[in-house]
Amino acid sequence: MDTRQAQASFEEFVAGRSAALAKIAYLLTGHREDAEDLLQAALCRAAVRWARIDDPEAYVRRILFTQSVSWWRALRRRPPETLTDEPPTLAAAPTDQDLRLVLDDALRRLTPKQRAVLVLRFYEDLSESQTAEQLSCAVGTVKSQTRHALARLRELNPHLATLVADQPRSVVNR
Amino acid sequence: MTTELGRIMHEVADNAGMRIPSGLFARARRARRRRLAALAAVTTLLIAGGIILPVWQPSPPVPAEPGTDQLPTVLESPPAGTAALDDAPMPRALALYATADQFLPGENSPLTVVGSGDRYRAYDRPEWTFASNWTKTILLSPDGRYVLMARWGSGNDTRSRLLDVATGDVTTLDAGAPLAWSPDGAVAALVHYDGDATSDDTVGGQITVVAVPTGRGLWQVPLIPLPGASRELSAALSPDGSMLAVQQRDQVAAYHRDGTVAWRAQVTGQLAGRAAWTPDGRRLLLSDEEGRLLPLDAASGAAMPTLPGVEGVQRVGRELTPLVEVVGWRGETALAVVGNQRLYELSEPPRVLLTAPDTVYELDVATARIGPEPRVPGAADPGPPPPFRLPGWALMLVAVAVIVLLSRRRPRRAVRDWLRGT
Repeated sequence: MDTRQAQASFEEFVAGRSAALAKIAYLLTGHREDAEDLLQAALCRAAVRWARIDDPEAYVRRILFTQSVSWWRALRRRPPETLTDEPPTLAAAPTDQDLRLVLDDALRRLTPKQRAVLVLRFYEDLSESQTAEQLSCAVGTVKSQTRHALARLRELNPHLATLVADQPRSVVNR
Repeated sequence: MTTELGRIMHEVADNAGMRIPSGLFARARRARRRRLAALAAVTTLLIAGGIILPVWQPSPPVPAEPGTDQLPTVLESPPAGTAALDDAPMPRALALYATADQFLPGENSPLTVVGSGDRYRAYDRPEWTFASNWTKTILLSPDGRYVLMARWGSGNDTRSRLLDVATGDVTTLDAGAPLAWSPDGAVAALVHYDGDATSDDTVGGQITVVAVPTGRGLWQVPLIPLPGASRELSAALSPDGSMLAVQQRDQVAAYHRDGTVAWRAQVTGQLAGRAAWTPDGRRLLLSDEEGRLLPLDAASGAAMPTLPGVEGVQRVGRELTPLVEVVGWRGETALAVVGNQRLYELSEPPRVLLTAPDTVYELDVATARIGPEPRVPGAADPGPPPPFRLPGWALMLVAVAVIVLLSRRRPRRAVRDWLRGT
């Protein structure tokens, strides 16, 4: 594959897959600007190796997840917005829109690794072992991070307890 | 219920609404080219620094100005990564030694050169030479500027290598193998044999007194033909360089500059080193197996009363070495290397000035312009680190290779494929 072919293939990939990848990036960062930075960095990394990448989607996803928990990237991350300790007051029976806002806010209060684990486990629907492989960490780490993340969500807003009340799904080999 | 969490997360993500700019591919490539260019520039600067820095360093040093240095009380084994003398010369050496663990039969035996300020340097001799209890292979000039080394060829091909410590340059003196320095270091006595003097054949020859560093012959005295002549020969020049004492086996002969014999004497000891003549030129010292100094009258060769030596001092050193070797004088007191291990001031009682590592089998010490009291040594200075010792052309070659690999795609891929074995 020469450079022109690689460029055409890359642009086709970006046009087709960037929306889905952008959603992951947003969930991983919690901020639109950080998510754009993260996704662009991942795509740029992939671009220079495009001709040699066998599975571009998997490659870019892996960069998204590893970079989202990179300490180096954490140094460049925008400071979080000032948030009050008190969760927003909601109606007794929250709507899905309310829950979305609450979850969006609560996800931002998790650590990058906790966010990454939740995204992989519940958004990407990966098993614990697959999540561990994606993040290059031990399965035990995934379990503990998931447990801590869900507990934190419950702490942050009682309404989220309805979403995370049950235990995380057990390891399923997919 | 965590499936509900997934569903709400999808809703959160669906509402993110992000923009991805176009032209990412070209931008990524440009950024990568800029990074590589910056890396190449930094690498070039670092390597250029490696070339330029040695130029900034004060080497080779100029010959030392007259002054005194203090001997260290202890010599160390050469530290790891000790610089070669050729790469980092010193104004002069205070001591010079070869150790048994550096000695490999049939290979060149490296030397350790110790300068002022605890500077240590390594010197690989151009060829292997041997020592005996009569013959030294390394002779440091009294001022520490030069080292004479034997260069034994086949048959009668015996020469000397003269190493200039201040530059690292080596010249060959054709007049013969080194025997002795004069006490002022201006001349040296070299011996040439007419045949293979290491064999049991009867071989004669002559000793030539040469000017240093030119190697110009000044005067000569003949050797008495003897079997194995090189094994039992030693010599010492008088302080003014006008007389030469030559010992072959148990006979000492004193020669004038014109080659005439002043006297001959049968002796029981051995000429006591390069400073065997007392500074006033009136006595010639021999040392014996007991560590005593046995003077002869320099005018007649007659035996004189024994001088204080190192009697009673526990014997140290190697079997091959002469027991007491006077290498200099401090007033009327001799400075002597004993057992190739320690430098003594032969006062009453004898005082140790310097101790060499246990493994040393040849030791010489420069005694000119040495302060009266030795000092406790500091940390050994091994000289500049290895990268700065690479020749400039090698560094330039590395720089070009790195720049080519970083700036061009094909060579990089070629290297990668080669590493993968494809």
